[in-house]
Amino acid sequence: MSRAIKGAFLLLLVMLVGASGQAQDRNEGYKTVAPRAGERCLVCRAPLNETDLVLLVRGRRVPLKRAMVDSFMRDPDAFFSELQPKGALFHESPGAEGSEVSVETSSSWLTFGIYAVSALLFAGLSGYRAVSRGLPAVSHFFIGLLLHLPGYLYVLTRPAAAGQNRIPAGLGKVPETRPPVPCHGCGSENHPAARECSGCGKQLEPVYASDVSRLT
Amino acid sequence: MLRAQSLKTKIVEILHSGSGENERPLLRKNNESNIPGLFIIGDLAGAPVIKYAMAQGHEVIEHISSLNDAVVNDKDVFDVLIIGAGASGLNAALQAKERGMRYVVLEKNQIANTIENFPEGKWVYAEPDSQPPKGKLWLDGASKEDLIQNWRRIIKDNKLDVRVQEGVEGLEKAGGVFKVRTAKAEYRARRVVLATGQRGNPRKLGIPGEEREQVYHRLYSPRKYKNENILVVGGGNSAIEAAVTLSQQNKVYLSYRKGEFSRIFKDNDAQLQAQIKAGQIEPILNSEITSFGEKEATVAVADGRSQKKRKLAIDHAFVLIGADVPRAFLKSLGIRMENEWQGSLLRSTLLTLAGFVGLSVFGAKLGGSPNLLGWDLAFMPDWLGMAMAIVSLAGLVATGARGDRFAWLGLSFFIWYTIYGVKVGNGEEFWPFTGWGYKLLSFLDRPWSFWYTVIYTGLMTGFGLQALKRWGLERKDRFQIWRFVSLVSFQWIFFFLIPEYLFQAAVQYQWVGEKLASDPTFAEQAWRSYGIIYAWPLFFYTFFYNPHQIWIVWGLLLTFVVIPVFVLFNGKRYCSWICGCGGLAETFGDRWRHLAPKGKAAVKLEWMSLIVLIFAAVATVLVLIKDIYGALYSTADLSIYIYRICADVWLVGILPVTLYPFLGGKIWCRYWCPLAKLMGLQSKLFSKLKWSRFKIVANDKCIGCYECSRNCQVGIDVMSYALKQEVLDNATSSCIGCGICVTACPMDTLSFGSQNTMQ
Repeated sequence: MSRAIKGAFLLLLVMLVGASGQAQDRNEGYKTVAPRAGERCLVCRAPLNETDLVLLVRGRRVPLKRAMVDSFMRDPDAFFSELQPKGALFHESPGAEGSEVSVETSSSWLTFGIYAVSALLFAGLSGYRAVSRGLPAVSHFFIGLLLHLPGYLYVLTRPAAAGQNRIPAGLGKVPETRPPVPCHGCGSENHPAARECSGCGKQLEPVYASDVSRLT
Repeated sequence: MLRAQSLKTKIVEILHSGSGENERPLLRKNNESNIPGLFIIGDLAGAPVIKYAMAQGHEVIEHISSLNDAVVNDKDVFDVLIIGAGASGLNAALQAKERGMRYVVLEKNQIANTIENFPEGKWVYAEPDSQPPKGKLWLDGASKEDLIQNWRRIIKDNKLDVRVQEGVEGLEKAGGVFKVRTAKAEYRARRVVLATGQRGNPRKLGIPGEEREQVYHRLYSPRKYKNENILVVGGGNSAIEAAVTLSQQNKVYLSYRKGEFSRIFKDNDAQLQAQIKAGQIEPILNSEITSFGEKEATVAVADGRSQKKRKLAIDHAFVLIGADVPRAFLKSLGIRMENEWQGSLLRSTLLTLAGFVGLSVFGAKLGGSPNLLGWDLAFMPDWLGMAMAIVSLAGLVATGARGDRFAWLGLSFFIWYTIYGVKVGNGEEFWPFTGWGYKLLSFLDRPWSFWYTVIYTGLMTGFGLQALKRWGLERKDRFQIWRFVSLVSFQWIFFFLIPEYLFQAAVQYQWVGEKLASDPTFAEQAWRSYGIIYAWPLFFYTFFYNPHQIWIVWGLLLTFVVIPVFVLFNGKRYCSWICGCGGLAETFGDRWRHLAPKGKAAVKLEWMSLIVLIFAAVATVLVLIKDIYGALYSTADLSIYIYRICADVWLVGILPVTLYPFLGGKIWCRYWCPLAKLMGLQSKLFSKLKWSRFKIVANDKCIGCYECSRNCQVGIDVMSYALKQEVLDNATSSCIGCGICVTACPMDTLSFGSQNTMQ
């Protein structure tokens, strides 16, 4: 823990010491609003006063000294990009260079996406139902994935399989094992297929048929 | 040179930590090893229970018999030669006979040697019951004696050709035929099935005197020893059971190298404590035996930072420290091991670098400035750059195919560095893509970040279906079905459809109301919709850059109300049910989940995420000071820059995804994600206050097969909890509630929630 805190302070120190300014012209088309106290020019980093202005660019406040408006307008994207968060988790805003994302061109992707989500949902429901009722899970999952609602409705009409493959009430999956059986004589716990008690040797009635008899 | 060697050793050590304890041979489809025609089944191939081992024996012969050249009419050549007469080997032999193949079984010791070495009367489990037995070998819950008797009868009834006491001394392949040499004969076979198991290969201390007569590596008949001083070495269940049994008639010293017995059954622990209290067992913890003498053993006991030597007067010693994979034997056959780091780190580094240099030179054609660390490379023609890149990548693939794992690491880095390095932004790409990479990859007038999301979602969907099939459908587990459907659906809805399309449609068609749709602080910032699901500090931009108040309110609510309530009931399940980062790890990374770093050292490193959390908190405060008070501009900008490059590009992207095939998928989530840490701290607090509703409990059925620990993506030694029937929650672990341990357990030992429910 102490190493973690030391590390964080060290990084903070580096940030405070290493901070450096990045300084370097009309407000055509952009709405302007009054500056707030403490705002600094995006171009020159100087504090703004009442005569300066703030442009609203793509929803963001771009504080500028009057003298720096021309500089900004010569290459707004270059300066504006400083305000744009970028990272592995999200995208640039629509309208930035090379990022022409528009609703008009997206209908096919959108339709495909909705199809995919719907397929997943019905596949999940179908798989869930199949597993619950002891039916072949993979094939029924893919029926739901490919056919959506009709596929799921088909799975709903399937009768449950007979035997032990069904999920017993109250459980989330088909159990891999059976609970041990106590011996009435000595109380020792025995395997449910055991024919004699491991504790006292008393004859036991196996709770289920052994694998070998199931096999033959 | 020495330093380079030591660096390589350290890197290999880290990369190998995931599979150190349960090393297995490298296996491909149908259990085929790197040597075509040589198959490995059973214990050695990781079958955790006898029934799975038998199933492998049956399936491998079914696969071989389906091949065109399965049966050859050559009296001198067996169709299949099986090495090992255990559960898998015998079932394979029965199936080979069934299929009319010429076969032979060679066994070094005796039939069912591993089971023969179990203590008298030990119960042999036939679980899992949900899996029907495959093949003709009998299996049922029975005592070891009954089981072996049945197997002997089956061998006799089927006239199986099993040759015992005939160990394999050499194996080579020439002209498509294996030559197998034993002390008695030489055999020729088209295919070989290796079913030797590993428990017959007891691990040794490798110290002077270990070969003495009074030092054993197995305990057959404990009742034979009376009124003796006996040393038992080990801290697992075999050692504890031996110590407890022997202590009934003898004085027992129990030497263990660790400070506590952390991997033993609850019952064994109780019996051990009783015998210690009775003075029959003297535990010597943090100790190592250094030598065995005629009537004594020397033990070094840790005493702070120093060691104290102690001489123990003993009559017999039992070294019961588990079994080793017969590595030397496998290597002598030319078999490669899983996660084996062979090859040249230097060569792979140079080839990867050469690939990037080539791209830098090629980039000149597209507006880039070719350079290497500032050294101008404009004198090189662009075609040469492209040729250099192609040759380098081909070199990585070729050396990788020959077994050089460093080459695959280099190639993986090359791919993910390119993807994330370009995604940093147009004009901000990492070298060698600066100035041209983003434009080049922005296909069809869509930005590279869009295609990145398409690739991400595609990978999650494809591999998600595969993982869903593996864990949910095939294992008949409803929990896993919903978990993978949830992960993939969250990705599609909240990280693709909403930010890319639905948000803009909602604004354009004013589904969000006229006022909101015409407010630029809302309408033109579709990227903020990632904040619907991603909470601070994973997505701390929610609070920056003049956000609409709706985002501030939701961000605060999500981070400080929704997430804590979710954590209270579900622990860290956000990571395994909702999050896109965790989602890629659980889907694309699923196939490598067993390679997650394990052990105490790996767990200790989890403190790193606290650093990232503290840094994110500091950066948030700085940016808020900048936005609200107009102060600390440069410092705030710098902190965001550092966070963006270090965390958002390197730690969440390039490094962890590069390492998926080598260290599993959860490197970011486990070691660096600040939200995972925040939830972990909350869950830990709730667990300690006993408010948490999240826990995994165990019943008394654990057989120590290691499947739970092996498949844990966050490297928790689940088995140690299961053996002791201890509750696993976030008070003592970083569990994310994926439930794979519960699903993988062939004995239904683990379950969520109370101890009375199975699942």
